Amino acid sequence: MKLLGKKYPHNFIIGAVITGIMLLLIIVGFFYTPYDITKMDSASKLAPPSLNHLMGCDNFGRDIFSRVLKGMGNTFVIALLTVLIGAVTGTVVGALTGYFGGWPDEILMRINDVLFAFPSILLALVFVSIFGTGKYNVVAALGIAFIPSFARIVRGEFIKYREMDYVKSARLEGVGTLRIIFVHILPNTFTVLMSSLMIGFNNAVLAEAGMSYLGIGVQPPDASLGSMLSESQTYLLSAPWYAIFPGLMIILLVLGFSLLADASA
Amino acid sequence: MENILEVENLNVYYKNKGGRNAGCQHVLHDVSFCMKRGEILGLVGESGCGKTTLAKAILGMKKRFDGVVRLDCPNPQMVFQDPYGSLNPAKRIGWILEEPMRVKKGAQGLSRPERARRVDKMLERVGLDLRIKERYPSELSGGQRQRVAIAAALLCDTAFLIADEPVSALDVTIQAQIIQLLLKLQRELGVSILFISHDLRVVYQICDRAMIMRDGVILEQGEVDELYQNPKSDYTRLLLDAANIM
Amino acid sequence: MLLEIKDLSIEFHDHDAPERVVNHVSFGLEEGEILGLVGESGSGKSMTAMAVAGLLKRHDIKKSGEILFEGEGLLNAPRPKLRKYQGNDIGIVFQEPMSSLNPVKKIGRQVEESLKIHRPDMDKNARKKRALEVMAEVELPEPELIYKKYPHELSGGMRQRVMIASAMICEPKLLIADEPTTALDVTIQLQIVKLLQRLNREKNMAVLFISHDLSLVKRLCGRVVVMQNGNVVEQGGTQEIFDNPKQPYTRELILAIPRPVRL
Repeated sequence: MKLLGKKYPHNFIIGAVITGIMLLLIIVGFFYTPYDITKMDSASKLAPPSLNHLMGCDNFGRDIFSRVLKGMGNTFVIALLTVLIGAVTGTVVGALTGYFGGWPDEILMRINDVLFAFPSILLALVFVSIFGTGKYNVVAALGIAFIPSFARIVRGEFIKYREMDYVKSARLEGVGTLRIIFVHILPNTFTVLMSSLMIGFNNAVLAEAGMSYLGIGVQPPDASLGSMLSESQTYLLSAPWYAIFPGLMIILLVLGFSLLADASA
Repeated sequence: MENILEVENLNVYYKNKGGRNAGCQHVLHDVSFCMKRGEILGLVGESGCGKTTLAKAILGMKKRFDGVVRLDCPNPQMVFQDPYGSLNPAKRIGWILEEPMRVKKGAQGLSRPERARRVDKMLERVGLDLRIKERYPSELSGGQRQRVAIAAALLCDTAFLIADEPVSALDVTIQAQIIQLLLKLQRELGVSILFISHDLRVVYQICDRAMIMRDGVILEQGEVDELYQNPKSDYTRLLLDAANIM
Repeated sequence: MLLEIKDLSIEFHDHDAPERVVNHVSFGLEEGEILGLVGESGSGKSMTAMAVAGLLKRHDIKKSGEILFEGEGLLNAPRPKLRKYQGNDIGIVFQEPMSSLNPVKKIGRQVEESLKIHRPDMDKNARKKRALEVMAEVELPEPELIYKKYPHELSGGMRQRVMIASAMICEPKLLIADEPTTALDVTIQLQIVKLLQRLNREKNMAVLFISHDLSLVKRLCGRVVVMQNGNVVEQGGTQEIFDNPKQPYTRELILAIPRPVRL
């Protein structure tokens, strides 16, 4: 398919459309929801989807569409911050250890291995149990849990590039070490980094959903896709739309980014 | 000082991998030679004979060695064998060429238009079209890449260049062009070049004097005509035989 | 005629515009002959060789013309048929001896590889015996020792000998050598050229020697085909072409041979 004079693969187009729609809904959700997300209406408890309530209502009679809009925003922000913390810290750690090597590299990588050995959710659970629940604790917990995978990828790239002749000639030209690391080598790792960012984002969405599902993420009455799924499970048979719509949104969010990651790799 | 480079009794050891007691490998044995200002000196030997180690020691990229290396030139440069690896794949040629001037600090720093002017002048000098500035290294041929690498080295205002097998990875027709270019630069700018190659024919074309190296030892050195007519070592004779001219 | 290439054209269709890399190329190779295929990078010489070796089976490559090996059409032959020839009647040696050997497998196993496919009746000991025999033939010192080594423990010249040994293990009638010496030192280049010469003489094995260096071709080949931009510019006896090149491009290639002349 051709767009703006450039040729894009189909996966990219589909991914971009899905992600675009999701982002649009999230932005809308920040400023406007059809109903107040905490407003309860006992008359429409577990009401099925209708024109008034596009996705039906939950067990308190709250509008699911409004809660999905808001919840997507929460999930998205948490996932984004998580990936940013993991990616930025991981990149810096990976860049420095990969470039310099030696004993700091050994130590940091062994710590990394230990962190890597635990599932990130488990690690985040430990963190939350120490520092308490809440949105930003979840972000910090997941972010730290995400550092090792980014550090490892970037380190590998740096080890490959630091031995290349262009780095040697930059050193001979008098370019400083930090500039070599961040200006001469780092941009070369972007292709690899981009796809792991996308995959990381997906994992973060799922991890946030998982943590909220366990009740340690976003706290009620605020909504997130994960917490909605968790609350909906009691009504899975009597009001399936309660589970289906938040679940569908998670799937679409992850699918959109996966397709983009696939196409950009 | 008439000599731009003096090397006396240079010995280099590599630590073997595998801990403290693995011992050392002796890669350069008592290497001594001088290089005159403005000269192209040849260094001939096969891979693994220590040519690149010698280059690294001269450039200060090897810190641990015994002996004396006196280089009378502030920022020596190097042109590498593999033109694919010697240019940053993520940057445009213009950016790569400006980089050495961009990182200079203080009084030596140049304004943006002045940098661009120097880049243009150097591109002309090495025989490249100015439009090449907008391209990425992957879009260039091997010969073009090698010209860019030479231009980048010379933009560091250096008077001393080590060319480590600069033509070995190129097609024969391109090899001749790059050699012509190096000769022209030596004549016009007075750069001194240590020209490393495994091919005695190529060294004969470009150098006045050459050294033959094997297993970290300089077997003989002298005028290239002398090396051709009266090879002293068996290894030199072997090289001449390989070069198809005995 | 052992190998006959008739009107071969190869087009790549992996970009917007199709790219023709080989354009109506025709030449032949007699049994036991050494033919030089000369040209710069991008001349289509390697592509021609890949087509002969049956390594251009990709959906985005369009090929036309004919490649006859002992009268059998190879160009559009199905894979199972090609496989009968690959490594058996046709052996291949590539330029880069490091990347054409598997770094995690021992030399011996890689040399024997083709035997497993083409001589399924041979047992382990027979294969090893044959491998050691070929390794001695290509003048690898102490084959028993090298049999157990890994590629990174060998020098470039030794690796190239290993490649030649593994290409020759089934006693092919044709050996395609794609720039086999380019990555090597001159002294080693000479050794490899002499080795190919000897093997050709003793085994009556035809060699398609691909190179950009006419000086090596002159030493090795009786006949030479010169290619430029996918076309054959000139072909004929090596001595004849050197004495009297008809095309300016051939003359340019001859002049580019490094010779002891001060520039």
